[in-house]
Amino acid sequence: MRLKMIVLAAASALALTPIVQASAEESDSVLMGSPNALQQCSDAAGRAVAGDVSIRRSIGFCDTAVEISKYRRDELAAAYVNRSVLRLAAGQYQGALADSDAAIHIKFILPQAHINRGIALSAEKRNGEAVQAFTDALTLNVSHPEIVYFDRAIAREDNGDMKGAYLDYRQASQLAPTWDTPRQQLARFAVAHTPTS
Amino acid sequence: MKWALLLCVAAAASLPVSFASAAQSSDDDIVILSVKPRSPDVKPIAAAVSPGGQDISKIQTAQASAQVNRR
Repeated sequence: MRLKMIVLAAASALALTPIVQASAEESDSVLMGSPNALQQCSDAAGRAVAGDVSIRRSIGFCDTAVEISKYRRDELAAAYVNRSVLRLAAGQYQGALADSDAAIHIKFILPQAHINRGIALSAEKRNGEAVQAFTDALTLNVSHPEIVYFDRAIAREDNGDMKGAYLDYRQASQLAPTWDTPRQQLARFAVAHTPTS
Repeated sequence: MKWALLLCVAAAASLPVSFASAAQSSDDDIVILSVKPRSPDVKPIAAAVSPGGQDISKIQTAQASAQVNRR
């Protein structure tokens, strides 16, 4: 009887071992598949905007967020927007553009999708279209217009429209006086005022 | 005398137009003489959202930069 119990215990231990190992190995994928993927994707995108993210792992969160949000349009659009942020940070501009387009298709009035679309287009040297994307964002209810003016200024500058760029940097600086980057960009411009006839 | 009166009327009529031009011409008058190259560190800022669609983008202001530098 005692021998039978020992054998059973040993068998149980052997049977459990692979499960424990698998759990440890798959902890990342279990985490990725959790309903929290939406929040983790959003958090990662927020960190990416601030320049602090582990890109490879975080895009996985957003892949899951897209997958589990298939039937919830608002959450799906948000997941696409956030994955586009991470793809921009990873230099995957075509993917970022595709995600932004997908978000716009689902929810046109999401200004963040237009902003990220503009950045992807700008990275692809399609600056005219990028300027239009930022202008589209400004027509929507955007939370941080100073960021959109700043982004559009860069696209305009890259497109050779120096005066437009100057006016956008100035607008960004006026909207966010404590933000030093637009002010620093304005200092690069030598400007004169000539009276019109 | 008639000519002088006409001139006065014409001058008076042109005054508001001149003032209006002065008020609206601030941006039109700007001429960009030169632009120094932009630093490669200056990049556009993407926009992230919460799962509910709220904007969670933040800009790094001068104050925030100072806090980062102190760490």
